[in-house]
Amino acid sequence: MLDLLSKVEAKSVAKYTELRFQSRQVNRISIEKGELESASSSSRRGVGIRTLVDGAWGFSSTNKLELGGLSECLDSSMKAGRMASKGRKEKVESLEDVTPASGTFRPKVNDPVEDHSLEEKMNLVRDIEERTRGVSEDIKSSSCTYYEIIDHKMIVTSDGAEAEIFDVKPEFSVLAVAAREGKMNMGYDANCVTGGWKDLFAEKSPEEISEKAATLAVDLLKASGPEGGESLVVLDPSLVGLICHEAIGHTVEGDFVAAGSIMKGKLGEAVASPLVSLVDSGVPAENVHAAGAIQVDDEGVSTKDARIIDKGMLRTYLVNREMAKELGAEPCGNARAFEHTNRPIIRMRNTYLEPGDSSLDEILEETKKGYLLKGGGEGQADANAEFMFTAGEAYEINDGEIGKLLKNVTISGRAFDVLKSVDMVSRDFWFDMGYGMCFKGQPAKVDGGGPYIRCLTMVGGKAEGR
Amino acid sequence: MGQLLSIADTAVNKGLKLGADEIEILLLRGESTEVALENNDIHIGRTDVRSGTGIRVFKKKGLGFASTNSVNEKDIVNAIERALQLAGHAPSEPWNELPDKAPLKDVDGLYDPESESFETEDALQMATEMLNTAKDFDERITVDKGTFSAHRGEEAIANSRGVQAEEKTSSFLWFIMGMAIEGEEVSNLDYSIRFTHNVRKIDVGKVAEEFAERVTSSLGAKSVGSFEGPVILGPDAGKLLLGTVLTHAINSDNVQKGMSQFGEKIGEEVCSTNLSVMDDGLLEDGLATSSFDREGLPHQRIGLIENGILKSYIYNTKTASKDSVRSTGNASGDERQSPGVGTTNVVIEDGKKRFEDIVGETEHGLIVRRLSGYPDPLSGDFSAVVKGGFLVKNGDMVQPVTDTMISGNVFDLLRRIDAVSKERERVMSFTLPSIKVEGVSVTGKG
Repeated sequence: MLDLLSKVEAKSVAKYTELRFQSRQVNRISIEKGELESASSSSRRGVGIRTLVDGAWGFSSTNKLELGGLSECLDSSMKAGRMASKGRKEKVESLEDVTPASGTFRPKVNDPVEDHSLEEKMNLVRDIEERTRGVSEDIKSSSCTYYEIIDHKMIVTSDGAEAEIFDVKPEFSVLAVAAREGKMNMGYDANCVTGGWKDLFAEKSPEEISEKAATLAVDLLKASGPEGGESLVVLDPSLVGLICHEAIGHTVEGDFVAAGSIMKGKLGEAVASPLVSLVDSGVPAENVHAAGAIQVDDEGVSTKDARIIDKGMLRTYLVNREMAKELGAEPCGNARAFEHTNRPIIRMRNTYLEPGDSSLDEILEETKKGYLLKGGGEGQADANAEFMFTAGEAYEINDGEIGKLLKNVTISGRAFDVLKSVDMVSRDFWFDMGYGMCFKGQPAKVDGGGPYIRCLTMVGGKAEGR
Repeated sequence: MGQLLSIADTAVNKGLKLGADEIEILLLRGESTEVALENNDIHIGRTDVRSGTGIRVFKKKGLGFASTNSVNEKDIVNAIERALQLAGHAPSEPWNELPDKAPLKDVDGLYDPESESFETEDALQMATEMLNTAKDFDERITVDKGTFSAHRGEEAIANSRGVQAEEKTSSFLWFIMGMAIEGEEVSNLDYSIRFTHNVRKIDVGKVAEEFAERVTSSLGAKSVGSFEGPVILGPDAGKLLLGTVLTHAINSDNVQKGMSQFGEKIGEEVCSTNLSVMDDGLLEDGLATSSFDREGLPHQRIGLIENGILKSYIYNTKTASKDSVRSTGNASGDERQSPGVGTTNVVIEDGKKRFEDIVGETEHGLIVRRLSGYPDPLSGDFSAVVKGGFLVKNGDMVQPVTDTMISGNVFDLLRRIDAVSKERERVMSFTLPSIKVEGVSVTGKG
């Protein structure tokens, strides 16, 4: 296939040509309340071809994997590029130079998922789902899902990239539903990694994931919502990953910066407390199994760490080769495409905050009144750096002590204000944001993490004094 | 019988020979062209040819499913074998049966022959017009992203009980997203999006102006002081809050698994009497309109909530069989997954009052056009950030609002609907009025 891609590339008259073959297998087993909801095997193979023609981009994809089909696809891509060029005012003169990736790339895998039989996976999902319902009589329903994304990719570019890439990302999740006296709540826990079976369950066993989801669902039945207003919040590593992703990560994506996100023109400026150093990493040295791990991006660029914020100062943007030229940043392998039918766009990988000197106990001790927020959240970003995210678990902090569990806790704020307010950062550090997907026109597997931090944000809730 | 249906039919027979007790084949094929905007300019043109096959088999009442992005015989046979392998390991479940054939009616307006001559050049012209209209509207506008895409496709479903359905569609989707910038101030991101099956209904200028008006009117926004009071949810915000929660609660699969607050509540009052909600798979020019569902059964128009009373859940064949009722034609999903249960076009009936009268009668409240948040569909709890908000005082829209959150519980809000507007908007597959609800917690810094 590599030879075939090279043969087609040689026929291109475009200024830049990129051919990406991807064969993806997604296997899913899902059981809900004792019923097999899904036992599926999805297979997709094809090639996406992006070309830079007359200063504009063209793209086309095909599942016809022979010379004729691929040549046709190349022609369509160039034709679309020529058409786009007719409408494009600012032409792309050239792309930032890179050392193109070459060779075969495989993730570190401990105990390949392929070595575990379908039967074993089905039995595990069934047993864990059943187990979840047994945790408490208040658990009325639950579901358990195992799925694995197995990729085989090849990238050939006219700049000399010739990479063959293998990747495996398994995910295991449990949802529990508790109900009592007309109230209903759900608890969720999951894990996702780049790697094998042992890596998937290295941090948490399937039983622990089940226990966590079930206990949370039951405990939430007694929980009430928070008081609204500005408050000190202590975020766990999972939510620190999420705040890095939403509050900063999206606003420093080069395409968004060029269009005028609030981060435009702020390189070299203090955008956060000096305690904040923020990195987006292709393969984090701290955890090579992070769910967003990639060694080569979809422009054939070997990944590196992008040090976005260093001790509070904005140092770089996240770019592809086009935006690197425009914004004067180094390409670190942030151009990603989900499948062969998607074009590469600027995305995060594994975004984290570097650890500090405090301990969680010290942070809590110093906090008279506030909230301790833990993972399982979802979030969104905005052009003006106004971000929001939900917390899976939230506890009151009173006089340094962790108090009662709260439900329905969402926080928001402006990234600069909130990151400047960071006044304590713990030594603990881990990644825990790998399950689910990030959406930006197309999905992507990302991860995030960091230490515990304390900062000041707005918490949505009941108007005070009511 | 069209070519695609004949491939499906052949595959059904092949599946039976390979050992399936029952088999269902969904085939899709289509071509699309698209021009995308980025950073105030045309960015990329693209054309794609796509296909896909989804195969569901039952063997000894065990379920197996496989899909491939191909409609070649060899790939289909390979997928049938994978599905059968999965079914061989699956538990036997009594409701694992495919539906019998049911008569289908043709739905008009899904395929526009004029789409056959719609080229990348036309998509470029539309994308350019959309960009220019937005930029000309106000010099403070900046367009981050946008697309104009045209698609033509065909779909065929056949199963071993005689279901045979096929349909051609054309569709056009266009959207524009960005912000307004004035000096140091960057507004909230906002967008506008439209869909049609019909070439003559394409109107990119309207979408561009709507987007431009939304972002410029939000400049100068401030937070408000916290209060508890009325909130007027615009169609977009209504879709996120009421849409997310209602579509979960009326889904028979969730009801049967004890994951819905509407369980055992048919015939009961579940919300204010001024709210009626339908699922309409036959809606004129609707995004989710087609003559049949994911199992090849006819789409329908179903009253879900009528004047506050819960009338019906939505069903596919499996969930209908468990409740001993008929499928409502709500089998959902694409070729990549086994059919689930889902809404088609959700329509909330219009009310009696004009939007401006609803605002006029509001003493101290908030208009919320859009929300950034994730309501919990099970409990109904929500806490979300207001986007494109306006503070209303003594009946006047006095100030655009940002850095403000609203929170509460959707099931509570459904019982506190004060007014429903005459005006409605389509937000993708939803058609909604503006809805005024009482007693919402508003958190701000003002």
